Amino acid sequence: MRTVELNKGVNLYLDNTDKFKNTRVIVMFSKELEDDSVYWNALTYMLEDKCNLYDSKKKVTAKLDEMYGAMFSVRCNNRGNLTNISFRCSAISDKYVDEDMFEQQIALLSNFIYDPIIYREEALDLLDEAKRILESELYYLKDNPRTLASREAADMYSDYIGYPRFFDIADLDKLNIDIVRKKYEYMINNMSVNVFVSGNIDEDKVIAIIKDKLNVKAREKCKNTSIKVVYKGLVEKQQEKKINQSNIIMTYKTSYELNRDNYYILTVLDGLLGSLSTSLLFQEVREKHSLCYSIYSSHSDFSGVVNVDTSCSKGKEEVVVEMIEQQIARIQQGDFEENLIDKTKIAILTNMMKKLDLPTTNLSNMSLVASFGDMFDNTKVMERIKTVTKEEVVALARSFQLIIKYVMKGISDDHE
Amino acid sequence: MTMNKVVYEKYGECYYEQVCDNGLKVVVFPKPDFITTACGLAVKYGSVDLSQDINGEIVRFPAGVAHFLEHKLFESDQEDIMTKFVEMGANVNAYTSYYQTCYHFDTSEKDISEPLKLLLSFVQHLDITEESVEKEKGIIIEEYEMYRQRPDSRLLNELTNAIYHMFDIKEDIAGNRDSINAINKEILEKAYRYNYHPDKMMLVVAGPQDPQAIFDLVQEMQKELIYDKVCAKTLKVEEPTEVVDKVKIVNMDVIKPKVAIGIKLHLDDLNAKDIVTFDWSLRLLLATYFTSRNEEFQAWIDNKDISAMFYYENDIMINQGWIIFMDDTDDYDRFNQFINEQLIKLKKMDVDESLFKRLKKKYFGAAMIEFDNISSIMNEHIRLQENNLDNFELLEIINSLTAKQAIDFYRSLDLSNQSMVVIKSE
Repeated sequence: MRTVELNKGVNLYLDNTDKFKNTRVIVMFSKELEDDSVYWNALTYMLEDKCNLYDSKKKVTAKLDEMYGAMFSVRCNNRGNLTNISFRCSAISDKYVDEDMFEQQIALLSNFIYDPIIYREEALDLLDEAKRILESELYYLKDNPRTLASREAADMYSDYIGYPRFFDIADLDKLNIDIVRKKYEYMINNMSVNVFVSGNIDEDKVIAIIKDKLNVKAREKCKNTSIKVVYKGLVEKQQEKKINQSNIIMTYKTSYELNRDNYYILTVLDGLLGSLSTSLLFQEVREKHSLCYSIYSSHSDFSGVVNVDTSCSKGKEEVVVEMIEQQIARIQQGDFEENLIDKTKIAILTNMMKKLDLPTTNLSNMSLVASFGDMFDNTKVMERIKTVTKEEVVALARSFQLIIKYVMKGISDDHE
Repeated sequence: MTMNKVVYEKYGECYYEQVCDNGLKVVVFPKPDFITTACGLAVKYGSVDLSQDINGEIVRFPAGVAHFLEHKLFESDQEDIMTKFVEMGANVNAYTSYYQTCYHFDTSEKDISEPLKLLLSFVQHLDITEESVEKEKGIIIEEYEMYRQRPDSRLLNELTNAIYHMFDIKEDIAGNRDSINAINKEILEKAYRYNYHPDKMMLVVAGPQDPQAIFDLVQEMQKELIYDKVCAKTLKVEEPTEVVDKVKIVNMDVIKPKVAIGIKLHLDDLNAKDIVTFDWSLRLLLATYFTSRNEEFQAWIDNKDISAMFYYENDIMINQGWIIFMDDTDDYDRFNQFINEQLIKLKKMDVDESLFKRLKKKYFGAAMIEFDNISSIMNEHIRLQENNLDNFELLEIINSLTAKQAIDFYRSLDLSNQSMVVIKSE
């Protein structure tokens, strides 16, 4: 990956590869996380929908079709202590069509970033449409038991660490065009910016086009920090839903801190516990006892918390929870075969190697390294994963403290 | 035996193919710039293959048998197959669709001979016990229930049930509680014996591998394979033109009602090329009308005729087809009326050829995106082989389509056989 400073605090990251037939560009604005996600989400829908040059959905779609089905999106997501607004455009490489596709991609991004229609009168209608979209998405999320369970547990976790919750339906009433416009202005003038390009590219040409068309002003970089989780006891919540299965989420705090070496240990620990098919949860709870179809663990790179997520037949919640706890206790006591660590490491390395061949995950890793440093660099991670020992894993597992236990209890008898 | 090279210079791609002596087809996409190799072994045996003729005997298998087999093939009394793949530096998985079952792995190892041998070995041998079959029922029922608690997958399943009387697409891929419980060792062995034939299988490899070396290895392994020469034939069903239920209300614990309108299309027997031609004609035509390419689309949103959850798709099969419209709305009767008004309006419209030309550019770009992902190359080739096509032949077909041809086909369709399924709270 080559890094070029476009302006003070504005970097361009280039991944020049023959592998891919498409060129992918991300312009990422970042700021520190605040309790304002509803505004950013509404704004991203408005920015994505149209701009002054392409001022209707029809014109936007026509342009993207003409660009051989190029994909364009604007998304808001939280990563660690940061909120990112990403403008993305991927399109077929110049090498396969007789057109200057990269120049078109950057021109398109420039139009949508710098020339939005949010100052026009019809922006009010667009804001109203954005509200309806966000509302539909929230209803959809709440009507799906698995996503609802994840959302409930995530809200409990946000409260626990003192971070703002993700917005809910009631927050949509807060939206007004003046605040949305102010957010946009803050994004353009103050937020930290990184640009990422991956594909079969002419680097000098790419740099020249981006400097000319995007022309991002100098700015300060925003501060990236880890999320501190202070233990305040266990918070439990149980809800009922008329479904046949129960959904369980358990969140564990660990002694992990970002920028410490135990990021690599945590990755192996997570693989051993539940993120892989060789894991204790998968083998014991699913394969040996047939208690569930889906059970897995995942971890946060930024706070070190580990989530266990599963669904099981109603009435079996207690057995499943007990079995999850047994697997954690086994790791804490080192009660597993030594070679399971080796198998876990092989599986993690296999997955990481695969990600190097996937354009989207490759770009995602580039942005992670740009924001949080080279501890996330794939080559470094793979080298360090190889050296993790059973003792290190056991020691980190001993720091586990259950902080969130959420159970959505199924109470339906509908079998057909 | 030397492999045949199929070259598509326009797309900067090629692949090699050859058929083993026992009928197993081997396809290799050389991708020297990639680290990973994706490898899939597909069997033309899916969830709809329930009524079969086995050497003159008519057999009706319980729903979900193909999916159950997919689970059980991972079992061996000598080793844990998944763990064995992990030890070799490979990820293995499988899926069952309406028409196929596919077992696949990916690896970044340069030499893939060991995981490839293991893939062929575990798919081409069934090794189960009564006890292990019983144990697997628990996992499969949990899988079935997991999808059943999701309103969107339940909606689709209820819709196929409302549309079809006989066509086994109406069954959930996993089956149902009763059918899963009815499956036993004997049934699985029978299904396996007469359906897992080498000539119903295809191996697709995409990655930095030497195609000929892959073929030679596979061919060598096939020499040792013993299999029953009798091959099951899935019976063609006589599906009535009418739907089962015109309106069906299903109660679930949801905030927002979900509606699906399914239009059942009755077609003459089509050959593989016609299936793809008609399917894509319809796909392009609907893309000109039910998306933002239509000038009225913004008004539909503003008038709340459709929401952000609006979705449609079409699928043309051998002698059946459907068009589905879905949305989340409190006023599902209004949505039904709206869709039917648009379907009539579309019949009276002329479609601009330039719009079709634009869509062809879009699908060309979409196909190129597939080639950035090793697993997509493998999966797409397997999927398209249901109709004996490759990705490039599909692009040629899409390029040959005209708006006139599409609208003529659409006008010839009887759209009157419809089911509406609504999921809402009691």
